[in-house]
Amino acid sequence: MSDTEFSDEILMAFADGELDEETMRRVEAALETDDELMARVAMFMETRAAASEALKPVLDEPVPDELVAKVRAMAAAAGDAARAADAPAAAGDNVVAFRRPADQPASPNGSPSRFLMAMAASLLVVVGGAGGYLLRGGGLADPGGVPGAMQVAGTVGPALSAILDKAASGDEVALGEGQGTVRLVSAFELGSGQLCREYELAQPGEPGLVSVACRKASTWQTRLAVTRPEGGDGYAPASSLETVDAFLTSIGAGQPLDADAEKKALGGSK
Amino acid sequence: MTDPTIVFGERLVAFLPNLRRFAISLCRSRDVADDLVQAACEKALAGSDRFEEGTRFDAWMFRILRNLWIDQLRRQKTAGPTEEIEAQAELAVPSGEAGSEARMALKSVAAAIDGLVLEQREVLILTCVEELSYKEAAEVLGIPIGTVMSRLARARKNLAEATGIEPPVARSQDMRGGTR
Repeated sequence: MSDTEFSDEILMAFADGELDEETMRRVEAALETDDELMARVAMFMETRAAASEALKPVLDEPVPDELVAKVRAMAAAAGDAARAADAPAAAGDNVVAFRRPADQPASPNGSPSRFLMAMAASLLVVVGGAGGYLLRGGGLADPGGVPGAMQVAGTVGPALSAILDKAASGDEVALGEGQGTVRLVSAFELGSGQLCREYELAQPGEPGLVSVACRKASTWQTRLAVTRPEGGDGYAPASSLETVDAFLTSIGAGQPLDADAEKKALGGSK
Repeated sequence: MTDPTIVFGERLVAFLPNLRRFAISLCRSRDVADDLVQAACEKALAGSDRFEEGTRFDAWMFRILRNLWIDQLRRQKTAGPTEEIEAQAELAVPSGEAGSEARMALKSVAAAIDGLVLEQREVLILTCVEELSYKEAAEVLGIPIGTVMSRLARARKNLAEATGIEPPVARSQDMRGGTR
């Protein structure tokens, strides 16, 4: 079954945590293999974060004293009037109460996608593959950071590929002349048997990235890269690792391979 | 014993920053917004007994304020040709703030929100900024949930376009050979 026919509204509702359980699982399943779909979801996540962040400063503006004083005065007057007449004023014609059933949680469904929650909270997510997509948390990322980040999306370059092919987890390997270092975190297999690796990339002048790449026909494809901006103010960054964790769960990653199994898998069918 | 109206008034005062933000995003003018907020508070106080405890106070207030604004727009339309009161980017962060790149980025998003048509702007603010559910937003706006969703999706695509947030790749056929 292919689920490429999700409408924008469905994907938006997924990004907003408004989907029913069943549809949410369907979208999640489709996201495992469809980077383009991921890009569409990411757009909705990013616009939400960007809008929320952009209008935050307005909340911090002091409410004009005059306005506060007037509202207090009106409240006091309304209290007097109510006591005097003991009858509701007629002004509230279009005032309609909002009913929220007591059993309705703030979030429309009880078990929001864990992957989604983590991804939404993360500040920078690069989803690799053909539709390599950059999700900048709240639109805050310095655009100057984009080119560097984009390098890691899609097919992994030869230098990094060679490292991913050979280096044991736990190793830290230099990428080459001033290119930074790669620290291999783990190797694991997907349900399909596809080999993937989690690694951290430290490049001069770029934010550190935690990445997941999977090997397909000898080629390493970046599936996800997350980072957090240095010194972002007032926007609590969620743990990047939590995002990676949730992502791994969502793509059906197995437990990290032990040293022997890893060696075997790396050397095996490339 | 505390006077319930005073309690209600204090609740209103505590909610003023959010109410004012919503008003500013609707009117795109702080002066007009403050008058609108005051009018909404007056109306809410007059009808405070109609507010049901256990329901969302914010949604209730947004609806009152928004209805007042729509009324006002209608009157303006019949009175003359003035469509939008001010086209300035009033939501943008006031200048004088440290002009860091992050601030600049925020400013452009705020300006882009300002540039949306009212029906997209209001639904975006209610859901993405004030965090109402689609259903709650539908109740505030008096429109079906489906309409909330289609307007909101359009608003966000427009916002993404205006701010340079990577646009999603255009939908294409399934290249992996799956059936439909």
